[in-house]
Formats: sequence, C-alpha cells, structure tokens
Amino acid sequence: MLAAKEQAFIDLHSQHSVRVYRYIAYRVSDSQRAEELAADVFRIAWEKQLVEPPGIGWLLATARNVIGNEYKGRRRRQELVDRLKDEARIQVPGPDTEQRSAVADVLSRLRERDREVLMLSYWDELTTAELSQTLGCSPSAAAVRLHRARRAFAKAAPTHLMTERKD
Amino acid sequence: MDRIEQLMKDAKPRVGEPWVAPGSDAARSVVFSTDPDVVQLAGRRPARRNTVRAAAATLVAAAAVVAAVVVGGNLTGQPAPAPAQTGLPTATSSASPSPSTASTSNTASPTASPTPTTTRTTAATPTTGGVPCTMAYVDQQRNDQQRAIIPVPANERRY
Repeated sequence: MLAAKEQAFIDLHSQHSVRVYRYIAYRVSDSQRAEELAADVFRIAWEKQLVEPPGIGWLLATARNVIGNEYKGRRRRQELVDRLKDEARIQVPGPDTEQRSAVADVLSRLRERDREVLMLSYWDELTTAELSQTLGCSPSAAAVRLHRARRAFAKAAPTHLMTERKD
Repeated sequence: MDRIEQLMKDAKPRVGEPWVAPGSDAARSVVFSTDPDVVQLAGRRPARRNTVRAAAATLVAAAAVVAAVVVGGNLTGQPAPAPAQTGLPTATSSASPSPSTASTSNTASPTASPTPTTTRTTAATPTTGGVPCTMAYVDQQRNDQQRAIIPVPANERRY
C-alpha cells in the first residue's frame, strides 16, 4: 500500500514524463542525456516536497533551468543549433528539407527569449496559461511575448519562406 | 494554423519514446526510504550487484565449511597419555579402607600393589627392595639407582 504522497508522485510522473522528456530532447542532441535530465527534473520535484502537485508549466520551467545548468549561455544556443542540424541530417531528403533548414537558421538567429517562446508554443504545444507558468509571468504577458516572438520570426525569415505554401 | 505555426511544427524534431532504449535503467533516480510501505518502482537490480552478492555468499559458505572442518578436527577424541607408572605404590593404592592394614611396609598385601591395567609397565610386582617406604625414598625410580633420563623403550611406548 503506497502512501498518498508516493502515489501522487507516480501519477505526476505518468502524466507528464513524456512531455518533459520531449521538451528536453527537442533541445539536446543526446537522447540518453535527455532522459537523464528529465529524470533530474522529477528528482527535483520529489525533493521540493511541494504542497500541491506541480503542473506541466512548473516542470518545464525546471527542465529549462536544468538544461541551462547543463549548457551554459552560448553553449546552450550552440547545442540547439547542433540539434537542429542533426535533425535535418537524419531526415529523409524531401521537398521540405530545405524549408526545415531555413527555419532552423531563422531560429538560431533569434534572441533566446523569442526562440524559447516559439518553441514552447509550437513544439511543446503549451496553452497560454501553461506558457505563462513556464515563463513565470502572467497569461497576458505570455501572450504579448508570443506575439513579439512571432513578429521577430517573420522579420528574420526570408520572404519566400513566409509566402510559400505547401499544398 | 498560420504560416509561422506551420513552419515551426514542420521543423519540430522527431524524438522517440523515452526510457525504452537498452541500458536506460541506469538513468533512473533511486529513492531510498525506510518506509515499509514504499515499494521499488524499478524492480530489477543491476546485474553487477547480483554478481557481487553471489560471490560474497560463496565466500561466506566456503569459510563456514573450513571453520567446521577445523573445529571438528580439534574436537575429535585423541588418545590421552596414560600416567607414567613408577612401580611404587601411590598414596591412593596404599590407602586401605581399614586403618588396621595401613602400614609402611605392606609389600605382600594385595592392596599395596597397583591394580593391573593395560598401562602397566613390564616391571615386576613393585617392591621396596628393603628400603623403607618413607618419603625420603620416594624419588627412587624402579629398582635402579640411575638418575639419568633415558628414552622409553619402544615396546613400552603406549602413545
């Protein structure tokens, strides 16, 4: 018979472990290292002894800090660039290969905060509420940051990338 | 879905399922607890730990067998040396239940002779040889006057 605390933690892990892992795996090339860092996030959640079970926003914010500790500053940006290049290399060459490379190039040229908001919104598929929890701001502020990040992306992307349609 | 969202989702990296690769158990966090209600989430133990435990159990078993052999060998009955026979009546053999027969020269008395046993030497019936059986002559060995220590003849060796 498990104590309520242990059962709650097992439920938390079952519910969010895949999303936490993917959040890290999108940004780190080494999948095994991504697993270790994801496990680290849940270790921190266990040690924090939070009164209420943390949501996905808290877990992803912790994951972001864990990655930040792993890859400091410029190294973190370089890790993302390497991750995107690896992704482009392992994909089967197709009509969207060039487009993917162009998006990766645009992302690498954005500011850290803009890139992170875009990735959280479209890769991790966070709602505005979850995004605000992850970023540590209000939902309205998170919406504003997403709007600014989209504007920065449109400004940095080549014209043909923004106008071309895949039908 | 607008253009930016479409581009971003198309560029999203493909990642597999976590914790399905071989050897990924090593990345699991292990929480130690003395709570008897806590069960191990990861039921398997590393093979190295099992190997070490098996080796330790084998060593303990071997040590137990060796200890049993040594202790058993020491406890088995060994032939105890019989007391040396001097041929002279000892205090216990000369002591008679009846005080009337107690004398210092009871050479012919059956009670004066030691009880024949298997440890008896080839010496004849002990006699004092005319020497008074007093404490002054206790150190005389057999009938000879030789005071030297000589080896026991082979046919007299009992142990």
